[in-house]
Amino acid sequence: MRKIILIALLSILSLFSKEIIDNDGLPWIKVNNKNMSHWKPEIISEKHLRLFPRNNKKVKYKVVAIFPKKSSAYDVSINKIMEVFSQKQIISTVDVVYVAKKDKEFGREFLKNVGKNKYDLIFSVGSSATAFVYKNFKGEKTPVVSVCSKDPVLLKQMKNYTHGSGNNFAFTSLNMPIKVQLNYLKNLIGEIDSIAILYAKKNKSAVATQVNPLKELAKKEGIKTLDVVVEDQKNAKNELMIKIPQAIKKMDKDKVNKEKSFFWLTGSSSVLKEIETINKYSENIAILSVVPNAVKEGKTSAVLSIGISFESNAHLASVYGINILTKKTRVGNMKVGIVSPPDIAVNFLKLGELNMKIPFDFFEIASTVYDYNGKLAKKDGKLLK
Amino acid sequence: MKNFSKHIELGLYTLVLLLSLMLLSYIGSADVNKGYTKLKLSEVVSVSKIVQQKINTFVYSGQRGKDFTGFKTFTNPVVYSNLSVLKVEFINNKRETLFSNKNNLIGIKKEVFSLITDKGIIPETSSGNKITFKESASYYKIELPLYSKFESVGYMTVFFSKTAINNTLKHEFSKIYYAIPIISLLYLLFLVMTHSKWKNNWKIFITSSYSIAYIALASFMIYTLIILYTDGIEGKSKALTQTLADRISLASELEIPISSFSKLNTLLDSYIGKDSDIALIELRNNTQTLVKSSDEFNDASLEIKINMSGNYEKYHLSAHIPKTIIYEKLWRNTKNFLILFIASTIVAFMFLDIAVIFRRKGEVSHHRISTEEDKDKEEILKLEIIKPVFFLTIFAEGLMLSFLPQYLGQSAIDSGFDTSISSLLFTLYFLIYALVLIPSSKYIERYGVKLFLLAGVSLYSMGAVLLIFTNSFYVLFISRILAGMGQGMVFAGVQSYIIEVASEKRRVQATSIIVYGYNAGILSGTAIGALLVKFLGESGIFMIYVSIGVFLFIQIASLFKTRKIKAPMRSKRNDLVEFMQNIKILLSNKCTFKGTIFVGIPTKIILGGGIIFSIPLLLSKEGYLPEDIGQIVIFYSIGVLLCMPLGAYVANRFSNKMALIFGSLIGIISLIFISEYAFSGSVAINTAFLLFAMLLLGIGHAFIHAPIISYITSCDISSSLTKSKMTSVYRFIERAGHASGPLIASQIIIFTSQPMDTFFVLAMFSLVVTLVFIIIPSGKSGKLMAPKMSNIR
Repeated sequence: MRKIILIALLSILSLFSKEIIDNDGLPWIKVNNKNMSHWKPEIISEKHLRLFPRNNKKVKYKVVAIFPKKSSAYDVSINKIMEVFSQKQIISTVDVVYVAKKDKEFGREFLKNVGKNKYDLIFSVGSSATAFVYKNFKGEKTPVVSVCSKDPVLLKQMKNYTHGSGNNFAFTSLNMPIKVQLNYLKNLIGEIDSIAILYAKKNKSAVATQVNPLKELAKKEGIKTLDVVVEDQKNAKNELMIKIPQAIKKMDKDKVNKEKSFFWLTGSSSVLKEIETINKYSENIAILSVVPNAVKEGKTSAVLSIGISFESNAHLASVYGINILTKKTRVGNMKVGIVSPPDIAVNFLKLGELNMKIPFDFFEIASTVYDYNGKLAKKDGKLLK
Repeated sequence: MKNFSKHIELGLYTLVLLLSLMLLSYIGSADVNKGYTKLKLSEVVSVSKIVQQKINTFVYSGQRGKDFTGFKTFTNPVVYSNLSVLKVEFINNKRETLFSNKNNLIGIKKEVFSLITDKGIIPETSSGNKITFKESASYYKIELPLYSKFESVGYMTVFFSKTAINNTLKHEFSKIYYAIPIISLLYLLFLVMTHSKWKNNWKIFITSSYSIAYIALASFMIYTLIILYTDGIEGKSKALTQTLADRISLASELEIPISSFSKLNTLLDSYIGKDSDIALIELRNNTQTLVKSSDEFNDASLEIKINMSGNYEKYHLSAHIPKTIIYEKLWRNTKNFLILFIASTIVAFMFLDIAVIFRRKGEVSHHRISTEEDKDKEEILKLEIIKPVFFLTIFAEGLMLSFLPQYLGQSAIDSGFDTSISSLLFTLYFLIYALVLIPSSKYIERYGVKLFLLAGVSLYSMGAVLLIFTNSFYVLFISRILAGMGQGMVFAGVQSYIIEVASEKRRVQATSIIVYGYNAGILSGTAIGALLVKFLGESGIFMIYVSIGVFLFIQIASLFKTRKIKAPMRSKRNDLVEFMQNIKILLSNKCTFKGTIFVGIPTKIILGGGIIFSIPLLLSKEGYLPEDIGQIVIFYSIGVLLCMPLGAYVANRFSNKMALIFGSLIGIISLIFISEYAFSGSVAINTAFLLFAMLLLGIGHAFIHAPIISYITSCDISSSLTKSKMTSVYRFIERAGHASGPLIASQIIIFTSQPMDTFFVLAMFSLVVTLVFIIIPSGKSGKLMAPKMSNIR
């Protein structure tokens, strides 16, 4: 009943005003103000938002992005895609369709009508959306580009990093190849003795794409690993308060060189939220992360992060999408898109506390730098001083 | 009246000096323009590459092309690296300018750009850099690609002013331009003050003072070149060090101390290597070295110091350039000039020789020829008159050598032929040239040398006139036939003239005119032509070619007097039969046979197969650059030119045979040296040894090229073969050696495992034939045939 009232209200609204200034009406997506000045939203249904370019030029392409849930990461991704499309003057409508986990039938129905609706390209936003579209739309005519999704090779959607899919899918990856990531870490630390990996047990994609590959590679290279696992995501803080000191005790027992060891924060949001707790109990062992957001202003921060931000990944996915739309490349020939060099964020206040040094080139390519007072000094590559 | 003509004579010498100095300064400024532009472009490219990396890094770190901040700050090191940089732009892939950093002092005109055609000024860049070099009438433009993490985002373009470079050079060269009239006036003053004391030593006075004046300007010029090139070499390292300082200063701007960074030595190391002359960089504060590049370096060096102000402490960067690199680069840049200097010196002294002819002519025409001394003077005059004719003829052809293959190839393509057809024109030229020699001596006897030479000069000049107006392949075909005929006729005419004019005691010296004219003409013509074609274009060179022809036509018409001999003409068929009979006569005589087969032909095989064919081929395999190979080959010609008088002296003082044996032995030793040139681990030492070996081979051949003619013509042939005909026939046979040389050498190359072993095989071949030459008796030595009536007065 609530749904019907909402649809009715929205329909009345769309009748009276074709142009909706805000899209607050749809709780699963947020288009930022900057994009609102270039795009005109139109709510088609409660699960379907359409964005028109405001430049009044004739629309050349029709693109659709599939959202599996409400997520700030997905908002970052879709906003980035819209931004890049505007910059590159790609005159296209961008439809965003909400396909919740429980609403798979709607999703399948929508995919069935993609051809009929004459969409030129699909963006699957998030690992679950990519998995869903891959399962139900592989081999179709319309090309698909994955966004904000974990490593397709580790998730068995692609055979390797060196060839295209050979079908209608082009993948991008939120994960850096683990070997490259470990090389960066070696550059920072030198010969690594031990890595304590922090993750949530239930975050399966993080376990599959970040934890397990790191453990495998570390074993091959003779690096010790420790698991600091959050079993219950709701109780993450309490678990970490106990498990981090236990990990340090284990390190002491194994006589590891703490200067050559670190805590490695994976992309488990329940763990990332507890950065203050992790800082408090990690003593003088460095906290490094795969997620750029783990490095923050002040003392409650990881020392450094090396990974791929949602924004960078979405930018690359946009370029992939544009190349497909403009027929510069064939979708089946496109290799897994991995942003390189990675996004680096560093907090010099934390570095100073631990008496650590970073290679000068890390500093130069870092997108985000917090200075010796823990204040933001460089953001998105721009100096703020 | 006598004083008036004396003043004219002194004025003429001064004018000739003035012309020579102008030629030297023009050639010097043209060469330095090229070398200095390359150094300055190289400087801008090195700095631009660092800035390109820096921009890429920032674009990597998140800044989008459109929102990119700090473009001005980043690109200031490029804009202010040197005064010639006018503007740096960030353009996107749609060729829209996103950012621009201008040097506000100079405006930029809109001009059409195309890729730089003169590859000689493009600095070496590693192949992965994809840097494009373009030019317009007033500017150079360097384009460096920019990339984000995701894709190509556009280009960094650097505009570089040609005018600014020219102004710098003009400023430095203005001192030389002032020096030219001053030196010329001083020279005139010296001549005026001393001419009453000259008497019989007039040539020493004129030549030595001319040489001193010429060397004075040349020294001043070399000094100026060294100043300019040193500035260019240091400028690159200074600019690179500045960009490094700017990068490190970024940390200070964010109040982050240097001590927060590890691996700074890796950053410093990236400034040492392929694109940089820097061997050591240190980052120092007031008391100590904080970090330095990894490689140890303690040799003598030039230090570049750049101060940096940090928020915590004061630092400075100190970069060290090894003096050996500075000297090596100076040598690399100035050696081109040294070759050009030798070339213009040859031309300058040829100018003087022409001026001196007038004095000699005056001396001869003022007296009735009665005494031996008078006869001697007349003979010297006659030989000096012919010298410029042969030299300038070869010089004119040499002017075109550097660009003719490409020019003919392009013309073939434009006319719808395959480029390989252009080699046909070369073969045609040499074929016509050789065929002309067959009937030449008879026609010379019939019509006289003067007419023959005038016809020769006219033919090759007409060939060049055709080239000025069109580059049609068909016209080129005719032009090359005319050139081959004309050049062959002049060669035959000069040869007959020398043999007829020169007395026995001056025979070798007279033959040297041909050897000197050929080597000096090719050397100076090729070097000057290669440089001038960039400034005057091909048609400019053709015009010079024609001007030389016109000058020689006037000179021959006014200075030569001939008497025709009414000899009956025979049919062409008889010419050929007679020529074949002459070959038979020459080869059936023991003396001429062994001279031709064991010295003449082997020498030409070594010249044609060893020097002209194998050296460029094998040295390029050893990693030498084409320009270096050209300069190495030139050392052979220098050896020939330097020792030709000595060769003539040995032949006169002892015997022709002695000179030939001595020359062959030096040749054998030098061929062994060439084969073993890479004896040490140092490229510099090996190259120096190779140059020495080439020079030595030239010296050895200086004892052969002229004395062999004298040797052949002094053989007793009991037939009616005149010396002129003997020489013609010998020259024709000798060409077989020249032509077979490349074929023989190519077979040796195939069979030797080490490329340079080819020269060892040639040395052994030369040793065997020399021994046979020594062992076989010459047969009865008889009196020389009296020269036929000279048709030259």
